[in-house]
Amino acid sequence: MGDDAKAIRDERDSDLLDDLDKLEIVEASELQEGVAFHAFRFRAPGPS
Amino acid sequence: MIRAVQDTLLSYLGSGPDPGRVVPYECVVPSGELTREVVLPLVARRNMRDALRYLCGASVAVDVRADLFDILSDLAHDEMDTFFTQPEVTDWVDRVRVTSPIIRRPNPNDLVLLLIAQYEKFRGNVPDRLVRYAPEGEESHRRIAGYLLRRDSDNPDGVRLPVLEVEGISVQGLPCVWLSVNFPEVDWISVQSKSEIRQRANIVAAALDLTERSWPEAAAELKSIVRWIVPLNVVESFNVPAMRGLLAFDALSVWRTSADLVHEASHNALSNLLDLFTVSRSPLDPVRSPFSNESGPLTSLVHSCWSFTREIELQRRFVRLGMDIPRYTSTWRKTMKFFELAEQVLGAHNSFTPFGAELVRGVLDRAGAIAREGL
Repeated sequence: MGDDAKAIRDERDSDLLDDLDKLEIVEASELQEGVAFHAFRFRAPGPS
Repeated sequence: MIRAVQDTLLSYLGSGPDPGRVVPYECVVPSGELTREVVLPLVARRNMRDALRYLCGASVAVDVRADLFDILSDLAHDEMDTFFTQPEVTDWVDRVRVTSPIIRRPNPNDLVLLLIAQYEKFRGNVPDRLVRYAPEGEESHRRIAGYLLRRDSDNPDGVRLPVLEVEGISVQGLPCVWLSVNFPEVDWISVQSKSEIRQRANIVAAALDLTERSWPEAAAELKSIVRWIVPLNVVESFNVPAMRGLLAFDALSVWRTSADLVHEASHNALSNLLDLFTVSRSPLDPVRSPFSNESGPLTSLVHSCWSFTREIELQRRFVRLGMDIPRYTSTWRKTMKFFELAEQVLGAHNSFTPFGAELVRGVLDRAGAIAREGL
């Protein structure tokens, strides 16, 4: 990609990010469940 | 990316349903309609917004991003709702939000593959220009189209396992591309034989039927949320909060599978609300839970009260249908005692927002009504 094309892309991305920040998306003001779980809460298989 | 594509995506994001339709005091009563029409569309918009933010990052190849945005902009709003609340997509987006050395950053190409698979499910085909994402030509392309959202893969012996769907819910364990990559610990616990998966899927179907007959509203809500069930070879049940819509349980008895479905899907339902609404200003404050007899975050105790209120209500409905539920009376008494203790713990906590206080009051009032009405 040439420098000009990259500059245009960066500008569009920046515009989109600005637009995304302006949106009023419904969401909790802070994470209500902390770091979400990314694993099954399985117990490791034990000897018994 | 051309401006028209951006505008299409922004138009979707800006057109969410009215969150005022969510009445916190009434939320503990299951509702398929509220889930489908309000909660999931709002969760989908939040997920999509965070995905787009990440994809605007410099590390994402510009052509990959352009293709992604282009396919997305071709989806109808209800299709975007579905895509952005799929378990794999929720998991992908959650990895965007969480910064932890033990959590793998999401790969943009994975989202493309998920989107191709979703597109193929909606439209029955995949645009030719997306074939290039299949590195080995047409055969691989077909496989990619069936990748992930069909929860389909070959096992090491080359035997294709059945992809069973029960009322639109996949019943599929390992081998599975997404689970193997993202949840390696599931290996030892998931049912893997073809006949076992069929047997468990039959039990899930019977459990859905039982839930429908016992509590139609609960059945409607869980059918809106649950997309994938992983049958386990141990008597346990789980939900994975970051992979909303995926449940894992043994599915060995019909009534207990119905209870597991309602209980675990209820956790998902509350997690959806916690994504959208601030319930507590100190949600992670440690409190003692009478349910687990351990200390855990405040919102975990709210989760327990919420899901057990619904599960005990379901079991009461089973009994009223004339079913014999093992240890029902002792379970009922024990659970009611837990609610009494939980009410003391939650009542002493003053960090709840007005929304959270109403939601907790609704849960505890429902539990209190069940206690007064008796077995």
